[in-house]
Amino acid sequence: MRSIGSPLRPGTRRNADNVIHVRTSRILALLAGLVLVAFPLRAAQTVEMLRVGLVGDAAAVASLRTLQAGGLGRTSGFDSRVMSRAANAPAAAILADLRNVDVAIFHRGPGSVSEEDAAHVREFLKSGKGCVILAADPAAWSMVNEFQPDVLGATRGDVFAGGAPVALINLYPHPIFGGVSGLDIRAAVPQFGELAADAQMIMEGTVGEATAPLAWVRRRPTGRLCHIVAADDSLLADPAYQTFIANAVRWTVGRSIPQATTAVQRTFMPEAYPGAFAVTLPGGPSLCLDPVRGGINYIWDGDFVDLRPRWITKQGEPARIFGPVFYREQAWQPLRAGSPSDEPDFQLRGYTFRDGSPEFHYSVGGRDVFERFESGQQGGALLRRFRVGPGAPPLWMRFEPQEGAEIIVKGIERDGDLACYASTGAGEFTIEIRRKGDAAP
Amino acid sequence: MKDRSCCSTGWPRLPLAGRSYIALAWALIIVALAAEVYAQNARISGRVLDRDSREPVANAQVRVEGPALASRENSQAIRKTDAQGRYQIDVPPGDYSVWATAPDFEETRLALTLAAGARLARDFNLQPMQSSSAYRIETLTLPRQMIPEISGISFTPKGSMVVTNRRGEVWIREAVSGQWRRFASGLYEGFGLVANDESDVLVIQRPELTRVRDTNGDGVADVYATIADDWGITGNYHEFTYGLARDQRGNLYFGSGMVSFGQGRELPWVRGPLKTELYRPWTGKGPVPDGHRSVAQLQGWVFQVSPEGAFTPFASGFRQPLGLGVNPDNELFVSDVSGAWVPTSVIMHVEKDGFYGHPDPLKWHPEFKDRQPTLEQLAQMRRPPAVYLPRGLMGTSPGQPVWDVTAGKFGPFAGQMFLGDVSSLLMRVDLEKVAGAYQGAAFPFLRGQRLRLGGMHNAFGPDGALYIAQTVRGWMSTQGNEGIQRVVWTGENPVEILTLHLTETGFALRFTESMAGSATDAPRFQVRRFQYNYHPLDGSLRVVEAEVPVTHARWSPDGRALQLDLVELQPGFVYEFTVDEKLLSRTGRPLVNRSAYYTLNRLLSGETKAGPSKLIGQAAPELRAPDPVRGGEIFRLNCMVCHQADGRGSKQVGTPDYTAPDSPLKKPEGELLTIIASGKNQMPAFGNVLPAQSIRDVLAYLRATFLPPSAQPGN
Repeated sequence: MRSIGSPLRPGTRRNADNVIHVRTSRILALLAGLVLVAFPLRAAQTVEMLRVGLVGDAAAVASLRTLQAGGLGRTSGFDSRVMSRAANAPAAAILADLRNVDVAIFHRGPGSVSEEDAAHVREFLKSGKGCVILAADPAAWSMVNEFQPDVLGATRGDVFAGGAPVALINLYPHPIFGGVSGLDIRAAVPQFGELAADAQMIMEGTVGEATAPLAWVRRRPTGRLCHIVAADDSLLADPAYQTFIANAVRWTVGRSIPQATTAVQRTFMPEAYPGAFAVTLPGGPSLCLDPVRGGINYIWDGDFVDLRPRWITKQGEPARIFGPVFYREQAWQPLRAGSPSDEPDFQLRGYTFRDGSPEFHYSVGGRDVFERFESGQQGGALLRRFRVGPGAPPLWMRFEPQEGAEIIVKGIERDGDLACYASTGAGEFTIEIRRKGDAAP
Repeated sequence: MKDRSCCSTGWPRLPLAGRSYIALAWALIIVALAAEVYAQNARISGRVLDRDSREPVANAQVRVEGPALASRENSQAIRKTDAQGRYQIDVPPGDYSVWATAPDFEETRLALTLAAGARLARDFNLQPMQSSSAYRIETLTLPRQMIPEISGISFTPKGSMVVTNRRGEVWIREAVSGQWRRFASGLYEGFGLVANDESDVLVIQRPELTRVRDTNGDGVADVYATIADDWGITGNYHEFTYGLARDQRGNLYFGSGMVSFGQGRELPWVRGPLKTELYRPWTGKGPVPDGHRSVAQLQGWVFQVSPEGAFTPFASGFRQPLGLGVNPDNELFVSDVSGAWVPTSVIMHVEKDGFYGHPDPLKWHPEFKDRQPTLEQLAQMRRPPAVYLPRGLMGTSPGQPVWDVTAGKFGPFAGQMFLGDVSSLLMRVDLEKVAGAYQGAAFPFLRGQRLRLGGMHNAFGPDGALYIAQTVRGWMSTQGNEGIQRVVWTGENPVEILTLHLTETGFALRFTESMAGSATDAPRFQVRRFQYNYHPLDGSLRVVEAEVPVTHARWSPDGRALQLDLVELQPGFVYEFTVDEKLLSRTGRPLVNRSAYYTLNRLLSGETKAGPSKLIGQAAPELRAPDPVRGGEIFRLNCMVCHQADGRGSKQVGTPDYTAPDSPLKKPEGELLTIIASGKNQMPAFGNVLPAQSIRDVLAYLRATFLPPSAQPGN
């Protein structure tokens, strides 16, 4: 790129004969450059563009178009279309296109639709595609008997707190909030209750001592779902809220979320010593790092922990995890210095965020060890990137047999269930933990 | 499959109907027992009213304390009044003190004796507090995304406010812009902090002391460095890590609370060693009265971390060291909350290697871990609190002490200590060093005036206002009770007792304003003194309580100083002062707070042991003739479990047969009274639980019921 349009390189002769030649070559190079630049962009757009169907009744059209023009526009990587029937139009089929979208956003619900469209909706809900519901209104889902509570994962009740606006907006860590700041909700919201066991609340409103879920996500076998309770016109026009909804769309199909950061919370985790870390990488997976035991207690394929059991109650239950665990360790101090049978001396020294990723610092037998967590190249894999400081004692790592995961070690020698970093100098190695059955790229 | 039914053990198999019959029978027995217990209870009910307006006082607290409630937390029962000011409390029969308190009202107390089945109606007429316009309470507006469980507050040298909350976040309000930003997150219940500057904050969280820094200048912390994590944790909900305080040398101080032991489900996962057995086994009857214990390493200790990062277990014997603060002279003070071995809430001057009362943390002490100190030895080892904070007017769970170093921006109390409480209360403490050790007076400072609950941490801001961090989640209603308030001095001089110091003959009081006193003022000062028991029961009642007559009241010519001479002064007592409401300043204004509590550990001479007293005779209530009927009630409540209803005792338990020919009840009365009061062999001491009259009553019941007429005293 730098040579295009740049002054002549040293040694290039400038004369009348070669002016045209140079100009021609510049033009060709420019064109080639443009092609080179444009092609990947186009290719990327082809890969990234998400087809989104915006479904609502006639009253919702204006709001949906606002959303379409805002957070769900083409520049954000969405190919969205509004599917709505005009107020007095005959009940013709308008939702057949749901077959051709990756994600559907239902504003309140499909409303009064033809039997043919109702069948399209029912088919969509079983298709495994992403589903975002804004301000679910069971009356607008009368054609889907099982919508509430089976699909929604909750039951709608009366207006929350007598219609008082929420005083606090509690955002639980989740990639959906990547790049979202300044969320605010002023209008009255309905109270949803009886959340399904797999419904992970990600936003909660509070008035006095009363709380109401404002958004939750579900990983249903028939597709991911996100329900956002508040969705009035002013919110849908709010750029922060539009980003929130666009992220929800991405999450429902497992796409990466721009500006999503690694979530780290020290808390009381199940099957871990108190003060363990819950870590969720934006591209997955999630893990429980136990600084007392000195290793990763487990890795699960899912989003961040639900901290409400710890935070809302007095007694404080452990945090709840959502998603299957595919890796577990139990042995005491898997990282050791000197020899693998030496009495371990493991100390947590803290952690540092580098480019959004946490790097944990341990002292193992007096030797500095830094461990950075990244998403593996393979979807859902965890890459543990180690840096080791200089020191005399060799560093050992013990592995445990895994039924659900395979372990790929690079940069150090592995012998059975042990690997050794023998150098006395500084160095690096990686350990990738892949879920078994997932194909390598 | 092996038959594990009842038949295999030789028991006859009952038809379902038969088993149901047994279940029904058990249910009836339980109902009957419950009904009996209910029938034994007494009830006090009534209304709490505004004395002046006769309007009901909603949400007033009615608190009943008495020996018959010894098995309950702090030997007390508490009820709140409803919207109509009504309350109702059922308690076992016994002698009680009943207090009624409410924000913006003076406290009222009465003494009652309730017989079994009694139904007593008592209304409380609360006197509205003098409203003071010297201080104004303001509530800060917080970002709606900040969960306002504010559990720590500090100011940077530039004046930015830095707070932490129980969700593990750190927020900064920039001094210049007033804008809030979330600086850090992901901590495990932040509970106190010290801010070095706007990008460098020390936070105490449950598992460690952490230094949180923003090193790339984006306003958000990127480095979380572990400074210390050398103590044990279990995951129990109550093992808070309290702090954080720093002295001028840069030493940091924090403390570890004990677990509330009971469920134990978290205990398979313990950082460090686990010791669940009590250091001093509970030998009383029934379950351990207070479940708090030190099961993980160094729980119940206060720690020091040097500027170089060296961790030192600094002092031991704390139940829940809720608040830590360093005074302008670089000395550490710690508040602790009432429970076992902490008879009422306290403030302690904490020095290295000191032992401050609760023995369970000694199981981690290198010298004492294998010893079995007696109660007397513990009492000798224990350093007495600088100040007792009697329950009620002085709150329930005191927070972090801070000192007024505002150079007059906060009013006339320069150099004095202020601390909040989980109740809506702000206290003031005037300490003095007597014979080398701190002791002093505690005063209520602010109650009501829309002061919220949960003010456990506080800090003076650069504007001279006192900022209070408030959180109550899990303990009280969070509705409108969490966040940050600040107390601002309006510039008006408050009419208060400024200082209360010990003299050789009594106390010297100094007022913030010239008072309209006279030479005949002695009766305007009611002085009572009492002690607390140092024991494993959950809190202590006031014991050996007596009124101490004021013999002389001498005012200084300017009306600001008053010398009160008392009939006598004894060390080891708390002196309670109540000033008559008619005492006014020379400008005609009444005192805002008319009560004070001076903890007299030492006389000016250094004497710490009480000598012969002129007041003992007056202090001890006159004993009535023993009442065997009342004694029977006390026996059923306190003694029957071990001694059995028929008085025949239990070989398994080791209790004697009162009906036997060699009945121990035939021993001399004095010896028997001593055994009941002081205990013998397995018999626990009831002297801390039952008043002298009750002990006499129960002995009368035992003799009247279980001895044959021929063996009765006098025959």
